[in-house]
Amino acid sequence: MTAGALAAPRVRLGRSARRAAHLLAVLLLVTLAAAALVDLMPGSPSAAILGPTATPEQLAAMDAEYGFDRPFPVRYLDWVGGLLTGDLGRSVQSGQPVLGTILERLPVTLEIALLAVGISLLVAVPLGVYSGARVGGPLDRVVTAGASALMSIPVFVAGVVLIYLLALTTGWFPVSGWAPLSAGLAENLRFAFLPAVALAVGETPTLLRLLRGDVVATLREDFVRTAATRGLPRRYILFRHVLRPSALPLVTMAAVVFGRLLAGSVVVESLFALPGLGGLALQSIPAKDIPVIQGLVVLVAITYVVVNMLVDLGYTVLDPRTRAR
Amino acid sequence: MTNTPTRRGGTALWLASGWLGLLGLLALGVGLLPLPAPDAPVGGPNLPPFASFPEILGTDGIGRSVLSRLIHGARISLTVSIGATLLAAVLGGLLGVLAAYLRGFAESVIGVVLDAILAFPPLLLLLALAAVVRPGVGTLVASLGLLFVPPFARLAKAAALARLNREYVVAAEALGAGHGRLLFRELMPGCVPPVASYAVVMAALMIMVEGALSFLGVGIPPPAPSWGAMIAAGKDFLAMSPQLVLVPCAAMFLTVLSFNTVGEHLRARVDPGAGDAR
Amino acid sequence: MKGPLLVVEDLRCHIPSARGTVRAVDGVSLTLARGQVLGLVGESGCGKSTLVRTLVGAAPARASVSGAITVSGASLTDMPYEARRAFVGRHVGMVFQDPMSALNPVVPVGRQIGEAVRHHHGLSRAAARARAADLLEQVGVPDPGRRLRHYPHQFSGGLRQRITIAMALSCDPELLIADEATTALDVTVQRQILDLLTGLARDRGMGLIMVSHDLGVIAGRADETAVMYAGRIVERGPTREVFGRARHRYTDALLGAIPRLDAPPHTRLRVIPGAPPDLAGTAPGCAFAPRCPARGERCESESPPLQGESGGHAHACFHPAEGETT
Repeated sequence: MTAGALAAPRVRLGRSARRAAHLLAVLLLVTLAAAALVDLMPGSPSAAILGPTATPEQLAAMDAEYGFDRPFPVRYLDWVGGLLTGDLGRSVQSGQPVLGTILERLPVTLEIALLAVGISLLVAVPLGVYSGARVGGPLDRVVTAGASALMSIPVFVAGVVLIYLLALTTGWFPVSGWAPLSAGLAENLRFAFLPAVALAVGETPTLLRLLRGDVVATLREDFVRTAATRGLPRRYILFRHVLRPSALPLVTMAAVVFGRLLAGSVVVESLFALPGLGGLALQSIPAKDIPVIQGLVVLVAITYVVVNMLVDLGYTVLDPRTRAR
Repeated sequence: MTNTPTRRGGTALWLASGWLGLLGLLALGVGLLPLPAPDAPVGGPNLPPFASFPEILGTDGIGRSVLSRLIHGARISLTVSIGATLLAAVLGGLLGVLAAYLRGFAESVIGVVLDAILAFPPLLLLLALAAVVRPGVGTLVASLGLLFVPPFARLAKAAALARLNREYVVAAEALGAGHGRLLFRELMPGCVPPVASYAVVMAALMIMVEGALSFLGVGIPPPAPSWGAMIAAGKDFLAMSPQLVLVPCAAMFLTVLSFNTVGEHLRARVDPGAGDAR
Repeated sequence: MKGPLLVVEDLRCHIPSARGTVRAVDGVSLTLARGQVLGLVGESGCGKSTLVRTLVGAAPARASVSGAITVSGASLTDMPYEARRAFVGRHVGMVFQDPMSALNPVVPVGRQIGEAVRHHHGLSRAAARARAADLLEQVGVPDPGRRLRHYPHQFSGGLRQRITIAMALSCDPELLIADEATTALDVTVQRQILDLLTGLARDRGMGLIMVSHDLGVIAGRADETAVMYAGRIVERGPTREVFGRARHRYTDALLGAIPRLDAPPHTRLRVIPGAPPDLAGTAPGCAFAPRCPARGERCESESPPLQGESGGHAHACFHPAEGETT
């Protein structure tokens, strides 16, 4: 086809070089878009932040401090330069450095996201393996229907129902709030559990379906038959031989889910009043705290890109089939 | 022989289609129904369900009719999610087919743009947008629609690539068909079924995202009714009047589940080998 | 121990399919003594593989199996499913056709060899490793200690098959079954693997069943040969007898289809006319009748039984060849 001729010179670049170029282009677009947020605001950002009572002197002072009045290219380069040196500017609300504010809030979000991925894996791995081992069996039918149902529960619905059942009605867990690790692990987990479960509800089916499909395919492989004729117990075959080839795709998907939860925890953090990144985003929006919002968006986007790159690299390093001798 | 998944999906599929049909009718005909206005009180706050007619679902914290808000909320949820899905499907479909057809540099550019959109955390970006632009049905449809272009583009590209080498396309090219004819008459029609069935699944996701935004208070601004906002407002009365939260939660769950059920059924029909590409 | 190692009586394995019941194994009886090598030959699709899979309890899930199987006096067919699997795992070793797909690509070979002994004999991790290294040495894999940690894709085809043989030997089985074990290998490697298998059987006093569609594989190595056609054994006897004095018309035709070096130049190879039988068919009579040059009326209506002759040579044919193939 004519298309083949156009694509030809690109192939010579080599896979890793092409990927690197691609990543750089993605990062460029991401930072451009984040920087352009200010320009989407109708009127002057300073006026929006300070409100209608601001004097011209106050507006001019804010423009001077944050550079809202400078042309886009200058502002962009300045901001990216700061990003590279770890300086994302100062919060309009608190005057504190944006990076410090974000890092301070990060552990809470990290913890509930990690817990949620852990809970998802804990549920998805045994159910995925056993339902895939007997396709169409009673367990498989219950699990498949259950996965479809769980997938259809929005995070905030899951959260509100969990609060109603496990906090309000039974009093087992606190309704909202947070205890840092310094207050003791048990106390910390008591507060982190419901938010993590609420996040896990929607993500478990993703992991479960991936694994179930893999298990069904792997069970048709000859090496499973070999293991069966050697009299190895069924459980050993399922978890040592059948699960093993699915480990990499599963870890990959778990990493993607984790990245998604880092940014997706806003709803849960708002519902449970957690002092994480999502809470920070929610505070910053009514206050039009542009530097904080930009910092959050760009950091999460960069994290997402980096996680994907690591997963890609991990594949080539970890899969024994692609590893060089 | 009928294949088993189709037959097993029977009852669930009918129920799902029935729910969506009912919801669609209610949303379209909401003006004709003898309902009180959704944004004005009709009685005392927090009236229990079934206390009076027609307020069979009671009233909310400031005395507004829950039934009326629920049905008006359905209209908004469906408008936003279907509008955004259509936008994403059309844009994504076109981009995907173009990327598959043009290859080379154009394909790379489209790929970079799509990856950049994918890198943005959807909820955070929508929140950021809410901080700078005034939310409304139009802005919500536009921002949600743009954010969900990449999955459609990916799907359409795969579908187009699979068809690009089929005999009828090759034959059309050999007969000297122009770019336009190849794209619109030969490639596009083949990509419509997978994109359309995926769109139904994506509509479910859109309802969830729209609900989340309303729940956070950055969706359709109050006092317009929306399910997410009803849940957010009701959660303060969770101990006393749990139905304020549980009723819109159930409506939301049933709607998302119905879209998913219908969508996955369609996808299985269109491409029996399709996995789940969420 | 007394008595034969393996006794199979009237084994049947019928697999339901869309076109009717496939009689993949249809009344097979066999005995095998310790230290003996049995060759099982036949065209592809004649039921050889289903037969050996049924022997080790790996028949297709939907199949209906009947008949009796006894391994060193223990009746497999009377055992509950899991007990039978464990027994077979301890006493019978299997080597399959494709060594690449028979090995788990993401588990190091050392663990794949050692896992069965660890489970059946409760060996420690270290002891299982030592045993795996020892087995690799026995099957002729160089530098076994280091190669335990390697993955299947890091070995050549021949070495991979040696590894699956080491796996099959790991629990000191009394019976080894090699199902087309050399078919997927290069011709030069085939011989080495065959010699390894027969050598191991002799040294360890194991019974060995070699399944092949290739008469050349069986000829010099098996003590006894059984010829299978359409799910039945149609001729069986000492290898020398069967090859030298084939009685069944099918065996006769098979032997005629082998190119011979001592034939005059430009001799045409004999071809067996017709197609292999449809195992889902229900026609009465000898399954080979439609392709048989010597068929009579009786062949179309009655299925010939396997009849013994002197010297343990048996055949199932109403009009046997006179022997001495040309």
